[in-house]
Amino acid sequence: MAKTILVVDDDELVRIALNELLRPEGYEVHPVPSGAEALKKLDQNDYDLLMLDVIMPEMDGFELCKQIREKENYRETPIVFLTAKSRDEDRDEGIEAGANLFLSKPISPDKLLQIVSDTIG
Amino acid sequence: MFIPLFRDWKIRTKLISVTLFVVLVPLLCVAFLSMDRFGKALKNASDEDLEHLVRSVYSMCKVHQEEVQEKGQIVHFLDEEIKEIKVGDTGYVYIIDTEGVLKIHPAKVGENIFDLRDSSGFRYIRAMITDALALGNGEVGTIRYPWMNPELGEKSPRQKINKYIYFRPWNWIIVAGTYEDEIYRSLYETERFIILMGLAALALVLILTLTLSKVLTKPIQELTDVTTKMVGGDLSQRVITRSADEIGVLGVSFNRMIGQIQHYTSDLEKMVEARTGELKESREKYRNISRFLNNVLDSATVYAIMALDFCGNIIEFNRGAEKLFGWKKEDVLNNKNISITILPADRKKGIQEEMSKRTRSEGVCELEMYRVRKNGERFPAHTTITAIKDLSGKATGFVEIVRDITLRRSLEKELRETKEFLENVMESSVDGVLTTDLKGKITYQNRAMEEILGYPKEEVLGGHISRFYVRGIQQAKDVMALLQKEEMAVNYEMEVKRKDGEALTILTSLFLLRDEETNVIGTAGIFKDITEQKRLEAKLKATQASLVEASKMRALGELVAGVAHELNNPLMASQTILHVIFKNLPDDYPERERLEIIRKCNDRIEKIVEHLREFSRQTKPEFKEIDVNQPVENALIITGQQLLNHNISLVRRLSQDLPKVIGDSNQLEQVFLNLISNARDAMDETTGPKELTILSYMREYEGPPMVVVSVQDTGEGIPEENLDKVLEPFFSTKPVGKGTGLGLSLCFGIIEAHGGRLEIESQHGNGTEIKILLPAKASGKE
Repeated sequence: MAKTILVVDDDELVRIALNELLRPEGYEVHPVPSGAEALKKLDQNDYDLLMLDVIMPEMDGFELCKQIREKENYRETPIVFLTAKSRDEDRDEGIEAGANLFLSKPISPDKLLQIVSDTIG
Repeated sequence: MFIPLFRDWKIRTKLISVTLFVVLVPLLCVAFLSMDRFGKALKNASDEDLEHLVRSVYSMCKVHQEEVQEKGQIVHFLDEEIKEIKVGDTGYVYIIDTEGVLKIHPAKVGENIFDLRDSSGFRYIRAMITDALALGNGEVGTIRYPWMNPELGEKSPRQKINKYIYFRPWNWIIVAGTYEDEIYRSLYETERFIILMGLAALALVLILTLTLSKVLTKPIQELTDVTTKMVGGDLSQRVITRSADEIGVLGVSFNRMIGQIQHYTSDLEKMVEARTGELKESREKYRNISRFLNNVLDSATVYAIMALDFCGNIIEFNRGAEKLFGWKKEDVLNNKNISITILPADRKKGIQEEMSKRTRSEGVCELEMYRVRKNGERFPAHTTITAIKDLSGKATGFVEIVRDITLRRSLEKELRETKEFLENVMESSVDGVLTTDLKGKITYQNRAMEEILGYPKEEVLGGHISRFYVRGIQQAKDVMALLQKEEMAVNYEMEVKRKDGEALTILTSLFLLRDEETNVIGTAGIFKDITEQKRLEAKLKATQASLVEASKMRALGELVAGVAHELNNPLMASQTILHVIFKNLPDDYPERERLEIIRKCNDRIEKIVEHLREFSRQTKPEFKEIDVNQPVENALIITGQQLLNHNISLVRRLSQDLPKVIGDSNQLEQVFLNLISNARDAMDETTGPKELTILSYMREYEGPPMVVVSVQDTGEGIPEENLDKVLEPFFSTKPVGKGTGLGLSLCFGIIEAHGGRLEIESQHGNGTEIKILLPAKASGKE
């Protein structure tokens, strides 16, 4: 069964690109534009990997990450931040919020694929 | 009493009075005596005539009584007879009986006139009948009464006289009456004659007396006239001497005397004339002076001018005094003492006596004191008292001139206060103030000036201003010329030297001093030592520039971060999609090369964004106490091979005993890397020797100690027009793609964050030196 990845980003271009990149590799990708929708999706499906943007309207990625980690069945699920933020403090905050990885945009597609496959095989 | 009176009479009067006395009095006595006697005799004669008439009628009646029996006939006969009788002009005889009935009367026979009244209302008929009845036989009675007969046109009563007799047989009263003046006429005529004769005699005597007196007094009168004329000043008159008597002799000698007098008088007159001229002149002069003095007195309304007698009583009081003291001239003149204008307290102290004493001994006494007005108001006054002296030099009184000096006092006070105020202002001014006369001699210098130049007041006063000037007398002349031309110079900058020789930059405002007639009498200047200010200003300017630069950088940092962030998503999307496309394309896809170009574009964009992010990285530097040589060495390790590759020789002189600085080693390393690579690039095109010099040393002058790292190249240098742009982001002279124009900007930002600064010195063609200055860690500081 294909691994399922939830992509949360308010930028449609990013959602499309990630979908295009990951789907051919055999992953099932569910892109959503906001934290609220992400939380909804989380209840409907079981995801193997969560890719979160940080800067989003209403609920930012850090907040979303914290809420996800509060869910019983997502305590261990790998969470990767993919964000334009690159400062060390941001990285620290992301890890603090419960993420496993903090990636700065832009990131080369190859590297990203490598990380995904390393994480969820 | 009479004698002296008589003595004073004129001779004529004397003669007349004597004559009158001697001639007239006896004459009058004789006249009166004779008139009296004569009058009486005549009167008796007249009375007797009348009486006689009555008696004749009486005897007629008696005769008829004896001859004829019948009374009626007799009456008729008698009537005829009696009517014939006239007494005087209007007098007549009539008969009444004792009842008052007229028996015989020229006009009114049968009328009863018993109660007839005379003009005074007296019933004279009644009285007459009573008297007649009482008379003895043959006796005649007399009655006088006033009577007016209006029928004859008489206006006033005349005295009438009646003689009557009682004829008993027939009970008749025979009356003869007439006006007295008629029967006394002759008497009156005689009297008149005597009076006339008397008057004639009197007139004659008078005429004679007058003539005599005239004859006697005429020469005397003439003498008197001449004398009177002489007295009146006419000496040409002479007495005419007609006779050789005593008066004639007198006249001759009198004339001689006049001659003498005339002679003397003419001499005297000449003298008098001359003297009169002089007197007139001097009197005119005196009058002018007096008028002038009066004018002075009255027009000196500001000065109270008073004359006092020896005891201080006021004897003159001009209008000014009235105005000043409030007393009226008429109230004080010869009535009040000057003490009314002196304060009671002063009076008690005996100031008046003191003033008087001083005036007498020194001739004048001048002092300032309080005086008092009529209403009790006091005022400060200046008084001058001088003594009035008589011809012998003895003081007889004083003249006092008093002036109200309230205004002067207040002006003086104001002036004093203003002066003190100005002196205080001057002395407490932080700016130097200095004045000179026209020749440049210093006339005043305030405390601040003393401090600025270091010369004490006593040393400079009177000295020449040029000693302060760096260029000496020439500078003084220049300043004066400028002032003459411009009147004043505001914020004029010049160089002066202190006493200790130090040159100062002075900001001065200079102006000309003028007297009331606007003549230039000197110069004045306000000086401000701006040496320190100048230095600070230069520093401030530099600081300001770097601050502006810094804030510009911060704003730019934010902008760049925003741009980089916004570019991230599309860039990532673009790269990802391109990656997918490449993966799906067959290897021989003809458009692959074009897509490859797009990927290169993406890579370039990514690199720029990367650089931008680095530039705008907001990570805080991690400050530690470091040796600044450490990051320099690190940078050189990284770039050493590159420099060799570019044939650049390296000169490295790093001071080993530098104090530590507080800094982020990584960031500083980045800075030096940047500077070194810039130097390397700058020397790429150079044909001459390529040399990179790196120095580190301490700079301890000008402010707090700094550690300096200098990076010098021998490149072409920065053109002057670019010098102020090199720190701006995106300014680059490197070929496109080789530099982002952010290197120096980045360095600047980092150094600024370290509290240091960056100095660039470059001359086109002679290479560039960039100094990084970092504050040395002061000992004792953490």
